[in-house]
Amino acid sequence: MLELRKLQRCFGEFTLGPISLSLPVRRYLVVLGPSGSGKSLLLSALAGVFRAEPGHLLLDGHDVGGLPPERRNCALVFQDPWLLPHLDVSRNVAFGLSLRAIPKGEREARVRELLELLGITRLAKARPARLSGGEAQRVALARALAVRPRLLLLDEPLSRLDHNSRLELRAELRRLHQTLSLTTVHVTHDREEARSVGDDVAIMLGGRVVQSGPLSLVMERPACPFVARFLGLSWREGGALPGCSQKCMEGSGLCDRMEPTGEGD
Amino acid sequence: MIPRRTLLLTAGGVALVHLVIGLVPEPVLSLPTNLVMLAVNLYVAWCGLLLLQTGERRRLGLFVAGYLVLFLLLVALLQRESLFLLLVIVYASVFRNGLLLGLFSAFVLSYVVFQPYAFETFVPLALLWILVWRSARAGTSLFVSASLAVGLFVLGLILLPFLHMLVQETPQTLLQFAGRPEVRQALLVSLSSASLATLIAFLFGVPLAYALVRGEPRGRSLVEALVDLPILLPKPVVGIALLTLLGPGSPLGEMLERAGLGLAGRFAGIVLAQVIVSTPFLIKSAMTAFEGVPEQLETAARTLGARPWQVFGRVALPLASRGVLTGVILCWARAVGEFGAIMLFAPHPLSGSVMVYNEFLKGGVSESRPIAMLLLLICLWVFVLMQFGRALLPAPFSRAPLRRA
Repeated sequence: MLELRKLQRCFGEFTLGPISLSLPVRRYLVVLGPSGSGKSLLLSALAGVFRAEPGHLLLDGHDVGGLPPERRNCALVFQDPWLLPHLDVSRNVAFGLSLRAIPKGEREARVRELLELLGITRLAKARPARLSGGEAQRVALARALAVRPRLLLLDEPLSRLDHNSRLELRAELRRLHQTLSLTTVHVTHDREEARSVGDDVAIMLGGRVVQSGPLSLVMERPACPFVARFLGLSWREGGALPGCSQKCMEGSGLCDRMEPTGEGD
Repeated sequence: MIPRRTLLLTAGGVALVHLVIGLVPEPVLSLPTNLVMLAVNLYVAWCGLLLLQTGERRRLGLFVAGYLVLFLLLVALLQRESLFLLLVIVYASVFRNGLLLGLFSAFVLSYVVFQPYAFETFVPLALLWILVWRSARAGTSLFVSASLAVGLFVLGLILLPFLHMLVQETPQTLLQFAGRPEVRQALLVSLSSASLATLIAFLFGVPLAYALVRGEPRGRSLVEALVDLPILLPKPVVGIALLTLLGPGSPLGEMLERAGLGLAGRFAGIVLAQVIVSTPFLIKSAMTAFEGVPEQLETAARTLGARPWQVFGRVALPLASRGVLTGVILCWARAVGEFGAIMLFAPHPLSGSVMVYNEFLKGGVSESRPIAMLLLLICLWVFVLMQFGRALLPAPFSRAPLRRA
């Protein structure tokens, strides 16, 4: 169970949050938003790259908001795989395990299992520099999964891949989630991607969550014209909402309705 | 194949020239020499015709020009016909291979023109040509190749005095000097103090460099200026400053002396002076190396459970290790080479550089040069060893990795 309570952080001009959101265990949340909406920052806050204060970040009921990244057990996969170039694939996958006191046999078994799960067993001894984008991203995923994180964070993991690898890995992500049922937060700006992998969706704009909830529900009832357009739906309610200037539709990147319609508080 | 007519015409022409030379009333060449020369020239002409065959008339012109230069230089100017014959055969044979032709020209230039400095000019020239040739072959632009050539030429000039010194002494003299106990002692002091200084610099300099790169950016420029300070100061100034603080007569110096920890004029003093003058090189190299390690790589490692010190030890340091080793080499070399500060602060025990100076004062160049050469050889050897060590270390992170199919 992941719970955010009024998470907030200022970066000069830009303010992230306050964000309140909750994600039940084993759900796959897709955070969707245009570039500059703060979705990657939200993910960094979850990973612990910076501390988000004021506000609380609860993971399985414990407040982890003040912990450094290494003690949160939230594995993060970036746009670029960021594999350690001096280690081969299996050692990269084993990296997180080698930091813990895990016996060698068990470590090797788990690495083998993960390489198999992601279909990259043949690359076990390859150097990261030799891998294609899709292969490298699979290794990065395996490396993240190896530490059995409580929360898997994916920061636009498919955006640097070519079209075919992207479709392949997208299906793979869905399959992995079904097999491992890890609580996952996946950030993207691609609505197709969001619609094909997510259980839940949170739509961000200007550092805030505009709407969140199960994907089907949000698809059925978008909260405002922006959400509708971003999901590729038509806005049926007609006209503007109270307090909404619809400036966001012209690309201002800001939502001027004070109360975000998020349901997660 | 070369058309028979051209072949015959050329051969006839060459033979005619030699016939004329032989029939001149007072022959410049004896009959056997003339015959050998005829054979050689026929071979050269055949090589030239082979060039023509490939349709490169400009290169044929170059070929002839080179031949004439060799002729003028060796026959007209130096009157060394037999050397000319030998060289011209080599010349004709290697002409079609640019790399070998360049090396050949370097050889002629060094061993014929700069004869007294043959070895020390040939080595840099040959290296220069190999590098420039490879750069040109790799399709580098003319500008880059020319910059390389000019830059390497000047670098070669820097190398010249050292190479020249290397060939001045016979191994026997060197061995004789190396056998002298006081020389051994001084070299040992130099090497051990420099190694100790480098170790100290490494232990506190590398973490400092990492902290400066990754830590709070405010105040960084101030610390960096502080790091640079010993580079900026003339070394005798460092020596005087150390003497003022720690020398005999100063309160701190007296106190340390009484506690048995005196520095001035001791081995520890040498190490201290070396640490001060050489650490900046290590810190700066290490900083550059750490700057090349992407932060995301470290973030990724941290989310996988690596503590900050594990990130340093298992991600940052391995990826920066080549740069850090470069820093270690620079630091060590600087420490071995330190003279000014040591001369003033700790001239005893005698270290290598101080001894070279002392011997120079006593007996001139001839007495100090063998010691200088020993120092040079040892440093070169360590340098080469460390360069090989570099290859064993992991390569730094590169954004555009080599992808091989």
